[in-house]
Parts: sequence; C-alpha cells; structure tokens
Amino acid sequence: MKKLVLILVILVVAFTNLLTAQEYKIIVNKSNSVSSLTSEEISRYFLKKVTKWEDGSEVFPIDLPESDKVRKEFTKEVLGKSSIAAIKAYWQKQIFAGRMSPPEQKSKDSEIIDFVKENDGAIGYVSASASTGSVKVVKIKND
Amino acid sequence: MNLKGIFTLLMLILILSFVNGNSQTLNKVLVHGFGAWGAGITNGNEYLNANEDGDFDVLRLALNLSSNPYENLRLNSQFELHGEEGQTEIEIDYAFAEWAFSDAFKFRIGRVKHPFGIYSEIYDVGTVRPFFELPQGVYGPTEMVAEGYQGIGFSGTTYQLNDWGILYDVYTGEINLDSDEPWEEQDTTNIMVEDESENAIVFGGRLTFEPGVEGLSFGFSAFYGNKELEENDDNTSEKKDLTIVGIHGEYNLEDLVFRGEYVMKNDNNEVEKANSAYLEASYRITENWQAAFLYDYSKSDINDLESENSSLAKHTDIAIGLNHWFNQNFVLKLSYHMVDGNRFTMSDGEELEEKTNMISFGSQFSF
Repeated sequence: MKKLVLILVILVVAFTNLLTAQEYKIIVNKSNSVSSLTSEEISRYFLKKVTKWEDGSEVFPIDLPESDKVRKEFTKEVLGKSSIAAIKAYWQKQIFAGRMSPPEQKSKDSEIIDFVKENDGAIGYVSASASTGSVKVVKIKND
Repeated sequence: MNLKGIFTLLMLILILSFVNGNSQTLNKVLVHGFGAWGAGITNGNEYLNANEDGDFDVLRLALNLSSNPYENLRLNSQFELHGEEGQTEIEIDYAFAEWAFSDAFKFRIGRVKHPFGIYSEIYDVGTVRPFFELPQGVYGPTEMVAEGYQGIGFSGTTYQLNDWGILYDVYTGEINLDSDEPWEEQDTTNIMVEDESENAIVFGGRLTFEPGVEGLSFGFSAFYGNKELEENDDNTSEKKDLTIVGIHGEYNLEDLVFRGEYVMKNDNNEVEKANSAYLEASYRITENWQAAFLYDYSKSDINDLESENSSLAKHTDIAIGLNHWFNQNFVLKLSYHMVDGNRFTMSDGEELEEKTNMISFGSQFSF
C-alpha cells in the first residue's frame, strides 16, 4: 500500500511538472559572460528600461511575433503581463513620446538563434525544444 | 535656429543614416503613426469641438519617424495634421536628436515633447487612454502643459536604488503655452473666446518613481516660465512669470487602470491662480469592451473677475465612457460628459449656460 501511494505521489509530481514546464529558453551570444538572470532583469532588457550589459555593451533584445505561443508564455511569465496588448500599450507610449522603439522581431526560432549567434549583445527566447547548440542558454534565477 | 531649420537638419541626418551604421539593428528608419476621427454634440454651449448642431470635423493624423544611425544616437520626428472646422494644419510635433551617454544620462536637443505629468508626451495618441480627449483642467488651454519645448534637455532612468525605478527629465528652452481667458469678457452673451498661444522661456523637470509594486508609478513635475507681455509705448514690456507644479500617479493593473493628477498654477502678475485635478478610471469588462469614468476639475482665482464664484473660472466634467477595442491599435469610443462651469465652454451665440452636456463618439488608431 505504501509503495502504491509513493508511486502515485511520484506520478502526480511528474505530471504537474510536465504541465508547468517552461515552454521557452532564454538565449544569449556565446561571448556573453552572463549565465543566469532574474525575470526582472530579463524584463528590463526586453522593455529597454536597461539598454547596457554590465560591461557597458549594448543589449539587443529580439522578439518572436505577437501571435507566437512562446511569446505569449514569455510575456506572461517574464514580463509579468497577461496579454500582448498590455505590452503594445507600453510601446505606444514609448514610441510616440520619442523615447524608444520596441525590439526587432523575427518570425521563428531559427531566425532568433541566428540573430543571437551573430550579435554579441543579443538576447532572445526560443521554444524549449529548439536546438541551441550555437548559442548560450541562460538560467532564470529567483528574484 | 527656427523650426524649419531644425526640421531640415534632421531630415538631412535621417537621409545620412542610410549611409552609415554598423549593426543590423541600426541604420533603419522606423515609421509609426496615429490618427483619430471624432464627432460631438452638446445641448447648447460649445465644448471640445462639439456644438449643438453636432460637429463631425475632428480629424487628426500623425506620422512618426525615428532612426538609430549610430549606437548612442537616436533621431526622432513626428508631424501632425489637424483638420477642424474646415481648416487643415500641418505642424511639427517634435524633431530632436538624443545622445545616450548611458541609460541614466541622455542629452536631447531640438523640439522635444514637454515632459510633464502623465499625458503631455502622448497628447494626441488616443490608443493609450480611455477617453477621446484629455482632461481639460490640466491639458486644456490653461498654460499648465505645453505640447513641446524648443531647447535642450537631459533625461535618464536608473534602477539601482533598491530596485526602485527613477525616471527624470530636466529641460530649458522656449515653450508655447495655450491659454484662453473667458473672464476677459464679462458679458456672458455671445462669448467667442479665441485661444491664444504665447511663448515663454522655461526651466523645468519631471521625476517619476516606480517603487517596485507592479503597475504603480507616481511623480512630480514643475516648470518656471517667463514670458513677455505686450510692449509698452516707451519700448519697455512687462514680463509674466509662471510657476506650475504638479503631482501624478498611476496604478495600472492592465484590466483596471487608475490615473490622477493635481496641478497648481501661479503667476506673479496675479492675473490668475489655478488649481486643476482629475481622476480617471477604466476597466476592461471583456477583452474588447472597456468602461471608463472621469472626474475633471479646475478652479481659477482671477483678479479681474467681480465674483469669486463666476462660472467663467470654474470647470467640472463628470464623464462616463464605453469603448470597443478591436485590438490595441484600433478603438471606438463613446462618452457622455456632464460639464458644470464655463472655463472651457463657449457660447454658440446664445446666452452662455452654466451647464453643458455632451455626447462624444469617435475612433482612434495607431500603428
């Protein structure tokens, strides 16, 4: 009986982890010394509230299209917004106040990876299953 | 250098930006824009481009161009087309260069949007607010907020202080302040007040804090302005000193948003002291439908007015709105306003009524 309960607990935990598994990976160029970042730090890079890495070089965030499922997940979990509309409202204020423009967009994971590989200061996110051997995956640490 | 000169210089630099640049993300001219069409009808007085016969002429279109020809250099320009009462005007909303020494220190020169309060830099952008027009107590012709200044400014942000975000702007230059003074006409029949725009040399700033609570920000704005009044016969002229101070706050929970400001105006000629404030709330009932509420207030103390309680110096607007957002780029807005006071209303040729009701309908978009 105890074994059965233990097996059930393991199955429930595994299933829960499967359901809540992160659907994206944060990637940077291999020359970037960063190995982990908090969600807050990543959010500031993508909202261009911070535009320099610690070494003073320029940060180049790169987004997926608005309709992409991975972008929606990233927006919710890292940027802390429940919808892309909230992010668009933020960027409208920045654009028309003459302050900043939103990050460039690429249409798919492979283009994001190519961009990050070719730009030292780039930071992007791709689906968890994307092949990221040519770039560095950054861990998201607790705030 | 006049505006035409600034515009010509920036256009040249924008063209040159196609020649130089050393990154994929540089060397591009980004194009954005926004627009609006609106109509309004009142039960008598004129208010916010609406009148008793119905006004369908409110038309705005703006084109925004920006470029990063070099890593630390950003060039911004925005042009607006206004069409009202059969007249069309094109104006340069802003045209300036910004050099970023760091996130905390940026230098700006040219014609720049006036950094004051919440809405001054996005004055005509309808897709970032719940009502078609801005609250008039602060953003109307009160000399409290300008659309832009010609001069130099410094701007920056920092997140080093216990994760608080601090955003600042400091500027000096010439500013164009819209004002109207309905109390100059004591006879309330057939008042047709013309808006006046006067230039003032100003020094001012804005400080905004993001205290680490999601969606919360608050801050302070102030400027001191000095403008020359009419020249006297002996070639001397009087100067008018203006001091404007304001506080602002926003709590943005995405579906539920609260914004509010209080602004105080003082002038050394003691012609007018004014206090204005507004509170605005909006709620997304569904993804596409939004309800909105506004309480807008303004009271002026005017030396020339016989009565302290003259309706010409008072304004209260209580408004409710219902908006349909097709998406964040396109919205239809319907609102009903109950206005008390004549600070911002005008007679339509009949006796000026103290109360005005208005229905406003329009569409606003951005891209």
